[in-house]
Amino acid sequence: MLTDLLAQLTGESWYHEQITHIAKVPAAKTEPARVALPPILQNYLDGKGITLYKHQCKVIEVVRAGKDVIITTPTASGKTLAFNLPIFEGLLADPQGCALYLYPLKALANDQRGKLLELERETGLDLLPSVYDGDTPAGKRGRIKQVSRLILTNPHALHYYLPWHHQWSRFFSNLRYIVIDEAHRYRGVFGTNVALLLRRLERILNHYGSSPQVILSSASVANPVDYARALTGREVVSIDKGTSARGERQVLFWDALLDPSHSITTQAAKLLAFLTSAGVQTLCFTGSRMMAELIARTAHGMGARKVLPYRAGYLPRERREIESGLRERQIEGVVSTSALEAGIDIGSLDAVILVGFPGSLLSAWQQAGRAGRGSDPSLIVYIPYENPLDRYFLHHPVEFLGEERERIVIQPDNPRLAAWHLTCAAAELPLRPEEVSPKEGSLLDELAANAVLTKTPRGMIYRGRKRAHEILSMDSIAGEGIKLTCEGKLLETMDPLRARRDAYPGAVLLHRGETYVVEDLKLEEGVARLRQEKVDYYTKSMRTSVVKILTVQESHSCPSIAIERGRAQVTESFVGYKTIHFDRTISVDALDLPAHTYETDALWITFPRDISGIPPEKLLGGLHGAEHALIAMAPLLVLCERDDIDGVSTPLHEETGLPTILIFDEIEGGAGLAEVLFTSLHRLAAEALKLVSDCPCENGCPSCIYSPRCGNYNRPLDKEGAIRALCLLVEETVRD
Amino acid sequence: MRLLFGIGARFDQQLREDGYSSIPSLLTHPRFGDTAAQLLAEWKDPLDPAQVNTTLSCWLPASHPLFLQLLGLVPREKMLFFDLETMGLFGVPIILAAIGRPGASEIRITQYLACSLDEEIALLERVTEALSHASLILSYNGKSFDWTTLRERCAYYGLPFDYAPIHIDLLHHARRAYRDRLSNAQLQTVEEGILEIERTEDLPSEAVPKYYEAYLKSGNSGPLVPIVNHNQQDVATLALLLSHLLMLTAHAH
Repeated sequence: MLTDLLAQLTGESWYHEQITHIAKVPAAKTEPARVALPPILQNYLDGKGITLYKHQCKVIEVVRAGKDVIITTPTASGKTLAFNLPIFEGLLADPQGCALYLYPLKALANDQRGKLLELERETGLDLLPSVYDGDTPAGKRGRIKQVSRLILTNPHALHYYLPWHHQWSRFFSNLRYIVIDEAHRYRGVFGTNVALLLRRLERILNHYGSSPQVILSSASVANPVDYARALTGREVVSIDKGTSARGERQVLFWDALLDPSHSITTQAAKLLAFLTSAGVQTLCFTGSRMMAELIARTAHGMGARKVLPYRAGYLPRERREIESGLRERQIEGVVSTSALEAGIDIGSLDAVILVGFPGSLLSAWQQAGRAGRGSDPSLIVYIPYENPLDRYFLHHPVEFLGEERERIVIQPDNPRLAAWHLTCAAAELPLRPEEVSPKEGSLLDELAANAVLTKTPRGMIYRGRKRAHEILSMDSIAGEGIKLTCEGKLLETMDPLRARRDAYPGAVLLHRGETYVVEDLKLEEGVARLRQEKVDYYTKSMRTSVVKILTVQESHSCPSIAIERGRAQVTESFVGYKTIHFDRTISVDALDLPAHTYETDALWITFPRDISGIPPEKLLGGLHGAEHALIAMAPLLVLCERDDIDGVSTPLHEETGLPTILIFDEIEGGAGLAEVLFTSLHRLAAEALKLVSDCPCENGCPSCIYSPRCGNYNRPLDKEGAIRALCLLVEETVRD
Repeated sequence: MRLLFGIGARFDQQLREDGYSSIPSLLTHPRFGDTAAQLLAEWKDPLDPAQVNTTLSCWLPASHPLFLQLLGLVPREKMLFFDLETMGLFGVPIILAAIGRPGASEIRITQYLACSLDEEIALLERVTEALSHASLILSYNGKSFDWTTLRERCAYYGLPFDYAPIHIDLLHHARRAYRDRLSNAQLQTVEEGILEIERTEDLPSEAVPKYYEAYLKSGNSGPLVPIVNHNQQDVATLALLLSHLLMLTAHAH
C-alpha cells in the first residue's frame, strides 16, 4: 500500500523531486515471554488479552529482586505496564506499602492516574491512587496524606511538601517504590534541581526509616546508567532492548528547498492533506505553537477537513477530545508541538511528519515512534529547516537512522544550585556534618558566614527569614523574575537573563498568539513595559561575550594543538538587535544594557600560530566558522538546547597567547555540557567537519557555518579555513 | 440537644415546643431516644472534657460559645495560655515562648527565651514539658500558627510530639463576638476596641525578627526587651480577653 502511495505522491503536480532519499527500517519480530504473576494480575492481563514481551518480563524480575532500574525501551513498548505490574504485586504483598510516582508535568500525572485507577479497579486492590499537587482541593489533602498508598506528583510540588514531612510520616515510613517517569526531561538546570531534590527526599526517607527502590523510565539515551546515577545517586540496572512487534518503516527525507516557490509550511500542509485524504492517519510535529496552528489551517484550506492543531495551553477537555478522536480514528490528522511526543495515550498512527529536526534524535524517535500500529508498515517524513543540524541529517540519513543517541547530563556540583538545596535541606531537618561531602562542607561554611545557616549541637539549621524553598525556583537559576506588563496588566514573568536576551527595548514578543513590542526594560525595578501591536516582523538580539579562563581542570595535549577544560568567567553584553522581515534583515539597532558576568564550565582549544593551509588573513574566519560548526553539532552528543552553549574565537587570546576557540555552558554555574564535549571532542569535530565539507555551498551558508545567534553578524567567516581547522582537530584528537 | 445526630435548629425549636429541654429528657423520645442514650453512655459522670470536646467539634464551628463552657470542666491547674515568637513565618526558628498559668485572681506567666538559635531545642523541650501537663490550652490564632509551628519545629528536631489537649483558639471566638464592633480581629484591634488596653512603645509583631537579629549580631540584650514585653503582653491580653468573652456568654444566658 505504501508503494502505491509513493507512486501516487511522486505523480502529483506539486511534487518537485523533493524526496532525496528513502530508507527502509526492517520490521522487528515480537518476542513474547511469560513470567509467573499473582492470579489477580494474571487475570487482569488475560482479561485484556495482553501477552507480555521478553523485556517486560525482565523488568518484572529485576524489580522483584529489589534492584533499582532504568527502562529505556522504545516508544509504545509497554514500559508503564512493565513497572506497574511488579509494583502492584509488591503492594499486594505489603498491605501498608506505598509508591510515589513523579511526572515532569501535571497533565502527565493526571493521564497516568487514569491508568492506575483502572488497574486498581480490575485487581481489587485498595490503594486510592491520587494526584497530589497544587491543584488538589484542600478538602481532599488530609485524606490523601493519611490513606492513599499511591501518590502521583511533580518535582515542583514535592519541593514544597518536603518541609512538611511530619504530615507525610505514614506515607514516607512505608514508601517502597519511587517511579521517575519521562526521566529524560530532567536535564539542564531543571534536571540538576531534580537530582538535588531527590537527594533531599532520600535524606528525609532515611529519617523515617525507609529506603525505597527507584524505577526510572526514559526515552533512549546514550548513557542510561551514568545518567541514572547522577540523577538518583544509585547504581541501576539498565533495560534498553525492546522486544515488541514493529512493522516495516519507510523514512522519506524531504528537501523543501528544492521547491523554492513554496514555503516549508505549505509543503508540509500539502503532504498532510495528501496523506490524510488517502486514508493515512497522520501526526505532524512542529517546533512552535504558531507553526502548528498555521500548518493545520493551511491543510484545512486544501481540503483536509479532519485535521486539527494540538498544543499545550488548550483546555484539558479540548485536549482529551483530540486524544480520543485520534485513538478512535475520528480525526485523520493532527499538527502538534512536542506536547504529544510521549506520555499521552493517543494510540498509534500510520504516518508521522517531522517539520524541522526536533533538537535531538531522542525527541525525533519519540515522535517518529508514534507511527506504526502493531506490525503494520508505517511512514515517516523528515522535512528539515535551513540550519546546520537539520541539514546535516538530510545529508546523512545513516546518522539519522542509527542507534546512536545523545548523552543526557546534569550538574549537581553547580555551586549555586547545590548551595540552595543545602539551605533547603537544613530547613527540613538539621544538617549534620557527616551528611555532607567535603565540597558541600565548604559551601556550608559560606552559608554560615552569610548568616543563612547557623551551627547548633544538632547540626546546621536554617535561620533566614524568607522561606528557604522560595529563594530560587526549580526551573531557573536567575531567581526573581522580570514582570512583563502591558497597560498595567501583568502578562508573564521572565528570568532576568532571558529578559536581557528577549525583552530588550524594541523586541517583538509573542504572548498567546498576539504580538507585543517592548517599550522599555528596567532591570533594577524588575519591570518591562510592552504595548500590543500587530507587526509582521520579528527581532533577534546580538551578543558579544568576553571569556576569562579561571582554572584548568583537565587537559589533553596533541602534537600541535592543546585542549583543556575548566572554569571560566563570562561577561556577556547585548550590543544590538536585528529586525527581520520574511527572513531578511531590514534594520540593525544598537542596545544599551548593562553587561552580565557569571562563572561557568568551559573548554578551549588552542592552535599553533600558523595552521598550515590557512593564510593569516583567513585565520579568524576559519576559527570562527569552526566554532559555529562545533556548537551546531553539540546537540548530537549531549541533550541541550541551542541556547545552552555558546563560544568565542580569537586569533590571539589574552590568557593562552595563541589562536583559540572557547566553548562554554551558557548557564550560570555550568551544566556539565562542556565536560561531555571535551571528552567526545574527536567525534564532535568529525561531525562538524562532515557538516561543513559535505555542504554544497561555496563560501559558507546558513546550513553549515552561519549561526543565527552570532553577535558579530557572522563576520568574518571562512569555509575553507574552517575545514582546515576542523581537519587538524580531527587528526590530532584520534586516540587509541 | 443540638449535640445529637439529626437535630438541627428546626428540630431543636420543635422539640422545645413539645416540652423537651435536655438530652436526658429525650431518652423517651421515639426517634432520638437511642442516640440520646448513646451519648449519655459516652459522656460518663463526671464528664470527660476531651470527649465532650470531640462531640462538640463534630457539630459546632470552633467559634461556638459552648466551647468556652469546657473551661468549667477542666481544673484550673490543667489550663495553659500560650504564645510564640519566631524568626519569620513558617520553617524558621522559634525564639521565645510564653506560658500563662491561671490562678484564682491572677495569671502567672513563664517565658522561655532562646538566648541563641541553638537554644531552640531546649525551649521546645521546656514548652512541650509544660504542655504535657495541660489538658486545655488557649491561644490567639494558635490553631493555624503557634500550634502548627510548635509541631513542625519538634518534627524538625525529631522530638516526640503526641500531645492532643483541647485547644481553644480565642481568635475564632473574638471574631464571632465582636463582628459588629471591630473592623478586623487582630489582637491589637481587640485590645484597643474592646479591652481598652493601650500598649505604649509596643513592638509590632513583624518587627520581632529584625530586633532579634540585631541582638544576635551585637550581643547587646537591649533589643530583646521589647520582644519579651510584647510576648508577655500577648498572653496577659489572652487572659483578659477570655474574661470578657465569658462575661458576654454569661450575659447572654
